[in-house]
Amino acid sequence: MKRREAPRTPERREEEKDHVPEIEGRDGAAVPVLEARAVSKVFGGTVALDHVDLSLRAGEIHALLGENGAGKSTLTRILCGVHRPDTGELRVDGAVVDFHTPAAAQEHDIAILHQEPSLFGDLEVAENVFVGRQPKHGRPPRIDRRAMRAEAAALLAELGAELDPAARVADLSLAEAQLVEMAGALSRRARVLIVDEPTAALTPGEVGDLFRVLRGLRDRGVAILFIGHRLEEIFALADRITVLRDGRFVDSRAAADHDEASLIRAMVGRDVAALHVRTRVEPGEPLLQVRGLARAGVFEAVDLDLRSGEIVGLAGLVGAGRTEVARAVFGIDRRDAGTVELAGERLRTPQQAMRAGLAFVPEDRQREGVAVELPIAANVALPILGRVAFHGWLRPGRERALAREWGERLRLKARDVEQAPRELSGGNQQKVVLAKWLATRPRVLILDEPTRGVDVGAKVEIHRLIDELAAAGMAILLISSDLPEVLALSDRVLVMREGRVTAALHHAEATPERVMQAATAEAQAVAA
Amino acid sequence: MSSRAARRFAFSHEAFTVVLLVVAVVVVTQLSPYFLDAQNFSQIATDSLEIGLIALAMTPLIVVREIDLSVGSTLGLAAVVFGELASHDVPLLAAVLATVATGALAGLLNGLLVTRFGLSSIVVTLGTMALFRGLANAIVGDQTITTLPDSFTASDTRYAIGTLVTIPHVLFALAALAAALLLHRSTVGRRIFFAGSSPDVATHSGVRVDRLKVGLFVASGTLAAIAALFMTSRLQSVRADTGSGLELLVLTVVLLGGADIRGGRGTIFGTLVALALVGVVRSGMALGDLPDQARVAVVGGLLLLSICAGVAIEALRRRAAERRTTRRIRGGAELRPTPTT
Repeated sequence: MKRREAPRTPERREEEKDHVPEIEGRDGAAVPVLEARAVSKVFGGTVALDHVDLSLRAGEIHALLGENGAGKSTLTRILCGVHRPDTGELRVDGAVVDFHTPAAAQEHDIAILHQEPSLFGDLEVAENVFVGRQPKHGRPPRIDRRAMRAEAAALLAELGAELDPAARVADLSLAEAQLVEMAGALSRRARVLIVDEPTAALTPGEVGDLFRVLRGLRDRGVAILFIGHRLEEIFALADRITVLRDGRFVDSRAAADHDEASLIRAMVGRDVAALHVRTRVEPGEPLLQVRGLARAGVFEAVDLDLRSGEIVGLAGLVGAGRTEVARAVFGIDRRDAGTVELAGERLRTPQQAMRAGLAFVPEDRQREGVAVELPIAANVALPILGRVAFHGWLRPGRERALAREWGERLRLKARDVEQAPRELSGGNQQKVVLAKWLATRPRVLILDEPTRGVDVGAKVEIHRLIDELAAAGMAILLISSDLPEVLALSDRVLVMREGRVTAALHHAEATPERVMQAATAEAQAVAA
Repeated sequence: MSSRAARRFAFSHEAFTVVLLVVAVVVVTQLSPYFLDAQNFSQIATDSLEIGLIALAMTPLIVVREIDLSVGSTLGLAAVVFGELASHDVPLLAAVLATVATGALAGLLNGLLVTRFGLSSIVVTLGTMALFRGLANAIVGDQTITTLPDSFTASDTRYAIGTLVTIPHVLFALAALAAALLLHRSTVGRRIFFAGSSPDVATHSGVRVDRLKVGLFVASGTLAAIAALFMTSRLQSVRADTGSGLELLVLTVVLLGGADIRGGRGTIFGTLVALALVGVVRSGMALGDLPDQARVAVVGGLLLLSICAGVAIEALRRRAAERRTTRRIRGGAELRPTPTT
């Protein structure tokens, strides 16, 4: 984040102080280690946080929950000094503090464990644990490597991790790298540890280990703020839960006072209509045929068959190679072996794929799906620009009409079709991407994480749309890390692990257990 | 204009450049009694034409996140090729075609080096800038070629309309119109904006980004060669250092005109306004008898100003939007995190 902060005048700060209602110590409870009061943050024309409160006490695991866009990340960044709040204040042990840099937050013993560990890959574990504070000896002072490794080993042992302090961090697994970060936090005697969606890419076993470590830290008095969205994890771990919605504080309660339904209601603001509807139709003629697709070191021997009216789910862990397969099928990435045919026609380039009726909604919406700075209408028209234009000359009227038509069909909420998608919510940006690809009238649609970062309301709409498209005869390849979503929508589920298809399951036999087993364990390859 | 469109223009770089142009005209008029004169304006147009021609290709190159620093050297090499051929009795048309082909090939080399090897165009064109200049030196050494056919020289005094508008003026106006239409009204231009604004989105939507870039480098080289013809005709002589330092002026014009060095934004209109601005400033400096070195410093200052202005305008725009929103929260008005949904 490279946002420029306005220098704050004393008057402005005064004004903010007046604005914050003084709340005094909550009914005799211990003073929170870290507290945010009426914190707001505005980016551009968007209110990311609107007068949010949060208080963290020593020795508790506090879950911060909310849909994407609810303001979790912004609040986290404020707590660790990346952003400064526009209104409100932060308090450490009851005293007002001003974190103008992440270093200032660190001085107050606040540590953050990022989703992606931010470590120096080429340095050894011990160096990473003590980065910037390596034990020194001699004169002139040199790094005391032996002492550093011994101390790192002791810290890692405290966390119950068996890691070689001399190992190179780049060679570690994600879970191990997280432990290294945590050892670093421990070495700084962090009293507040913020963990940001640490489990997204972990196997169930690794998640269990991580939770054991977090509980151990809590029992030693560390205040832990856990950001996540898997409800079962939240219930297994959290002592208290704070829910944010649309940048606002909803409530903060003991975890025992919540059940799954009440949490969802708090997050979404209403009861959610049935997710995952699916009208099954008999699959029609074969459309997409992939044979022996391979890319050296990424995936190999991938076969795929998609028939009209069929939804095939592609499950697996992050990094299993699902996105890479989709990119190669569409022709964006080079293939080392294998063929892709749509209704008998060989496809090599994205242009051929698009012409033959293949559409690909990519995973990274803001980077690959939609040009956030350019108008919605231009985005929607891009894949079929040649057809919308007149001999190479743009026809803006037709572009707008096209965008309006698809916007209405997908219930896109935007001011008008000349608006830049940057200003839209994640769900509506995704609708722009869907509109853009559906406007090509594809016969085969590849959806890569179509509901990631999308609020529950839009998710329901997207599921309904996927179902309608399949019922109308489209063949759909659904890549998703949301297992319930894959299981409910798919006719067949393929599971990938480490670049190979490890299971092909009919929807009746596709249980979460079988899918997870194929995605994680050493499983026997099943003919696709 | 709706209030939103008005606000967008008011906070645009183009508006800033228009204001600068007005200020420059007023200031130079005060400084010199000879400035406000139709003949002087005609002279400014003649002097700006070669820079403007190259800027027409540089604008879309900047939009697509690339840059061509070799344009001055390409112009020099093309001028030398033309001088050699024309002074050795090669038919004029053949010499002209060979010159244009030289520029196109130079651009092709840049484009292929950038796209095939995934290199940064700053580095590649810095290299070819030296390479092309070196080739020009190797061909003519330190001699000056002045034996050019009369039918070719002094195009800057061949008038199309009255005694103000020359044939090169008319040709440049047509080229600018064509560039504006191609960049802002054609599918190619649309793809250029996508490739510059979100390269991955463009690739995922079937846009051949590399092919676009090669085409734009070829256009840049070709226009540099055509500019070489105009310059040679005007100066009636060719030397190995013809056109050196021109890339600085071209870039100043393009960036001052609001093209974003990070890509995705830029207009031919803005470039033309900035071209007029730089022309007025240079004319003012000439009328004021500023030494050459000082003139380069002024141009460099303008370039820095244009880059800083871009950042400042962006910050102003964001601040204005944030202030509107923050005022709403303070006022306790009902609002949503994304005001538009």
